[in-house]
Amino acid sequence: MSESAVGSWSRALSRVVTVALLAVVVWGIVAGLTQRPAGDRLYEVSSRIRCPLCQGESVAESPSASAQDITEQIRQQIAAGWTDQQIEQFYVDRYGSWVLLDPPRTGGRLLLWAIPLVAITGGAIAVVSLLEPGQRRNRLTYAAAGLGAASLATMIVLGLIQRDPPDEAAPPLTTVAETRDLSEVGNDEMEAVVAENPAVVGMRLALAQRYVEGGDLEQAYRHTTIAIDLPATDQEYQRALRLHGWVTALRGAPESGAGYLRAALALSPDDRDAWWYLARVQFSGLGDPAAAKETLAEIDTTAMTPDQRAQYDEFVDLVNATLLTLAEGELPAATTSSAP
Amino acid sequence: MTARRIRIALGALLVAVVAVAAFVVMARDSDLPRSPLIGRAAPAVILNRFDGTGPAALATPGTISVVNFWAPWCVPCRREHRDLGALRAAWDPAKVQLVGVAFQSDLAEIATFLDEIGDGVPTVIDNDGIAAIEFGVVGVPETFLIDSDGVVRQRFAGAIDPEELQRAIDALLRESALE
Repeated sequence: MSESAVGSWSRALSRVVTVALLAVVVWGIVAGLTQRPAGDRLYEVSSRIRCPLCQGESVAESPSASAQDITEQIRQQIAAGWTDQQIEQFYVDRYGSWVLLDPPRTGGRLLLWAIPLVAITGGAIAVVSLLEPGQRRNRLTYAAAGLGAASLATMIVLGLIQRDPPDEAAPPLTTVAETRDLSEVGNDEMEAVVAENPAVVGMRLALAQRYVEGGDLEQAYRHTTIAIDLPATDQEYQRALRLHGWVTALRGAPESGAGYLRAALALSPDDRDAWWYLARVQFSGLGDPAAAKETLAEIDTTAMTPDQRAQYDEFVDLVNATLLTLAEGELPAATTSSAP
Repeated sequence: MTARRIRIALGALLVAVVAVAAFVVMARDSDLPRSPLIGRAAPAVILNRFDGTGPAALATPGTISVVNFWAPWCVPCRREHRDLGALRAAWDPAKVQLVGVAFQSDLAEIATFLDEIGDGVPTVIDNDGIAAIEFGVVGVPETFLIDSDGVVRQRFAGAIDPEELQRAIDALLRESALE
């Protein structure tokens, strides 16, 4: 090839490179201008969740109806005060860790990260070993060794980073569905569903809870008495005992109610709500603030939302004040506070 | 070039090739992993029936529940709907319940679909996608088999094989002594 031909190729190549670089710069500016503002939490969270039906893009980017449903749900979760981690865990619990666009690098996925590095290292060693001994081979040997060591170190660091436990437990599986769906279903409709599915414990308990919140203890009691006799999973039976105990106590039988609550706690000693109900029953129903104080101590160190903590502290203060008053020879003031 | 160096090179190359092959296989397998719901309590979701007779729960504890997510715009759902309807006709409703969840579908299109295919599958409407999200649905059709204790036991991605579904139900019936 002549010198002029080489120069012509060189100029053409430099033009192509210049145009390509300009295109990249323009694309970067456009992308930057059209990007959502930082701090848009809905966008930030939804851009980390993979659209399950389209899979190649996040729910923030996908125009599909499925992605819009999830975005709407995330909006509600944010409004309800969920943390980013709780929201991500909600989707991982249902779809698996692949639903996160940056899935945790643990187990099989850690291996997925490691394997390409192993392949590159193996390839580098293969090339180096074929070279004649000399300075170039030495340099490549060091480079391959460095790559291998860096791969190993990266894997160890990634593994350690991902081993940190989540700081808050994910909310129960049904939280959002119940909030959205059941709020649109009236008690009469719920009664019809329960009548049609008399053995569905969860639905019956949800209805009983509604009656408790609406102050209709007789209707609540009617359902909880049935619920505790139905065939159920251990978890359902425990929830039935807890609600029945609370309703029984509210109806004026605190001794019996406390018995059901203790039975619920025997099945699930970590049930914070059952401890809370029992403390209420002991204090208000049985007039035993000392027992209530001991019961409250059981849940002092459990995770609570700020509202729950404030409510807990307020009740502890009341119990302590009552104990102090009793010690001074006065009767405690009655309390009417109900559910936690 | 010594034979030793060639052996080292071939060994290293083999490691690289095996790693690439493993990566390809693992990356493919991770596309649709096992549903995290399997072995856990089925989500408690209540949806309105398409026929306007009120709300219905997707899973009915005490019976085996088959929850099928479908849509009128889904081609494989057509044959599957007929298969499910035929299977259901032979099931004892006290032992096996079937519910079809019409996913993100226009009501008129659902009606047209059921007119054409038949209404052998009791249908509820999931226009907000709540049930699909709760069950972690990644496409239609998709079917979940829930045992009589309300625990999700199996997920069928894509159109079901009627014989395979029936075998799975028979196994659950034997297991739960409902047979």
